[in-house]
Amino acid sequence: MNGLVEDSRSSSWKKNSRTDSNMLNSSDLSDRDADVHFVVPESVQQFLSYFRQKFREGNVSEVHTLYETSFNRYSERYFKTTSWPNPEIAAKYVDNDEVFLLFYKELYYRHIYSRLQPTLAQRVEAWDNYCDLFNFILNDGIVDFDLPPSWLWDITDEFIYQFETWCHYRNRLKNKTEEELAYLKDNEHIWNVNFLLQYLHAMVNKSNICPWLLNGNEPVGSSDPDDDDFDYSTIPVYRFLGYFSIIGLLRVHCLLGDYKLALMVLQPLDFDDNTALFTRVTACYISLYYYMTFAFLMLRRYEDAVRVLGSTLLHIGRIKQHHTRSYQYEQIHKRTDQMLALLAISLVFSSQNVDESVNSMLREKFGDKMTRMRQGEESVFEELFIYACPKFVSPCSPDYDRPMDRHMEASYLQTKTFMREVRQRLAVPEVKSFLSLYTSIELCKLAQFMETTEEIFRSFLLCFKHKTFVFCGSPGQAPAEGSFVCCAPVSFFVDNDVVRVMDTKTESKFGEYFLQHIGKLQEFIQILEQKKKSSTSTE
Amino acid sequence: MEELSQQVNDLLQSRRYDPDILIDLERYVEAQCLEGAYDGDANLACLKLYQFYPEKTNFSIVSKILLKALAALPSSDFISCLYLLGEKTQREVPVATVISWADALESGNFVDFWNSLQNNKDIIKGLPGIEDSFREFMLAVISRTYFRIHLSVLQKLLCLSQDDLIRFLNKHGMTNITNDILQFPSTEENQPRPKTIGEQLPLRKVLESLSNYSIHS
Repeated sequence: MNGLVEDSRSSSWKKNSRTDSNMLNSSDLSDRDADVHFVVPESVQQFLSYFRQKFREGNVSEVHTLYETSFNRYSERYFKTTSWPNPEIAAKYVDNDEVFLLFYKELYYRHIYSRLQPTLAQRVEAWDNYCDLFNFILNDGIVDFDLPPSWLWDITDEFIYQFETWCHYRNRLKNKTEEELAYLKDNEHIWNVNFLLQYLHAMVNKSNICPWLLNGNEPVGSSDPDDDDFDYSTIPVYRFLGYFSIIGLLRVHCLLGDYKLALMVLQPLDFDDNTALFTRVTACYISLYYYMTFAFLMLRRYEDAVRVLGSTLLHIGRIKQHHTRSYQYEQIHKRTDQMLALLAISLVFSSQNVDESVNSMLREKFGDKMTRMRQGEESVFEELFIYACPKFVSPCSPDYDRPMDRHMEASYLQTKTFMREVRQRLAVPEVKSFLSLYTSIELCKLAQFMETTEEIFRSFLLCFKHKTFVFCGSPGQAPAEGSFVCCAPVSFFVDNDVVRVMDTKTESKFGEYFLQHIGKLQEFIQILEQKKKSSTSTE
Repeated sequence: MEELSQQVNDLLQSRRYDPDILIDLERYVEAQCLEGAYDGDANLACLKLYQFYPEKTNFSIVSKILLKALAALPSSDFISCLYLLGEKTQREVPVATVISWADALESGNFVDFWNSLQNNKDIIKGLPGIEDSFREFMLAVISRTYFRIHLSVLQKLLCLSQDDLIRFLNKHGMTNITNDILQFPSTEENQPRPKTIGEQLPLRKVLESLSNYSIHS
């Protein structure tokens, strides 16, 4: 990870990044006062106390259930339209456990973000809590408790999500009060992109995750904190947070439009490893592949996008059934559809095909759109792109003296640049459809058929050759690596004034055929065995 | 140059998002322009700092970075740069012109590209040899498109007089000219050979599928 991991030992920014939220207008905090009168149901009191107890005991599997299932059940039952008990109140039920409260607060604000509309004060407090939480993990000695990976992933992911919403919030100036504007102007450090990146980098560094990955998923140093070469990657909390921060960086760089750097941060990851850490949390798996393939698309690596999306969508199809009742189901579902849309776009510009089952999903969802894209309808590309793209952000603060809504600007610019590429590329399918009709034809005649001049037609051919010479990676390579290869859907060359078109032969796919039939045979055998079992049991 | 490159690399490792390193990054861009070197990743880091601190944007540096990225075609450096530019920067005069050049160049409109370049020569001032870099990209595309090409066509595409064209071609080892027709060295793409698409079935996929099945006795 050459150059991508920052050393953040200088701690000045950490102090600066903390805010004094008392500076905020008290009216912002009015919902808090209402909170005071709220009586916390007894079962919630017990839940909190039990949650904290298990957290302190380091009972990961129980904490996992409490976090994934119980917390959501209580949210559904008691806090559908209100926030969870204010941390100051909740403190009573958890013995004022400051460490537990850091994590509780994270949940508290996350719940507000997902169910209610966070106020400026809440956004700021949520940021402050992340600073406290990360500073605690990074600087206050070694954490002595264990947490389920899904929780650690959610913390990292939510941190970036709230940054994303902050950037949008800050750029919507029209309906802000003078006071809010003044506050935003004076507090540039809150949710600052620089601090965000530094926290993520600091987490990657502290966890020593890169050496761990490069060493074949083994720590390089000692697991004894008293040793000089103590290695933080021996502690699961650090290992997971470091790993998830790498994927967090991928996301942040994508949101900023820096796709090359986004792929470069993935350098140490091993995608061939079936037990890789990203496979431990489904949401993480999906996020990784969504942002990675999105970066491929933006860097016009359509062949890679098709290759990776094809296998990812198959995999998600297989694991999806285990998540039907999970709180993440909807998110998984939406991302899958977005990835399908990315695949639809990539396929138009690629020479490959995808697996039949993925193909039928595509036909069902975007069949008509794909036909229209193939016919060169620009608006369909734009529509699908806007549907499938992440919520881009402008990292810098807006011009507070000119109150305008500019939260869509980043999105608009990325779309514009993407569409510029699409427009340049539209000649490819058109030229292809004309060329595939002939084996040899004079250039001027073909130009006539396409209703254009010979000179412009020559430029179409050059464009075709340029755009089908693509950067392509392979399964064993790091995402940023690859080489240029010709991926033209039709092969031709010009001999002076004559275009000569070559046939493309596609070999039969014997391997795939056999695999399919082996699968069918297995299914058949299973059915027979079940029948056998049920018939013997009835006997 | 090597020293500067090392220095910038170190800075990017330790202070990638620190606006104070812009001076060094900009100096590095200037040096690349003058000496015909190229470091796309460092230049992207410079644009990223402009993205974080728009008030520090130096439009002349932006257009130089874009020109260098354009000369690095077919890599995706140019479009990578474009994604990082704000609306205001994209509208600024030298930047907007360079973006229109990219459109022409990538759409195969080499003639239009040269016309616009001739009218805006001042933009490439300070980048000696950049025109030949563009020609090298063009020649690579042309040699994958054509097996034989008439010199008059090639002259227009590369914007060179006949003598300069011959010299340029010689420099790139293309000397097979008969009756004013150049024959390119043969490549996979300019030969009448049918292309075959074989089946690609990685072992991993086979193992994956087979591991799902247990073998019953």
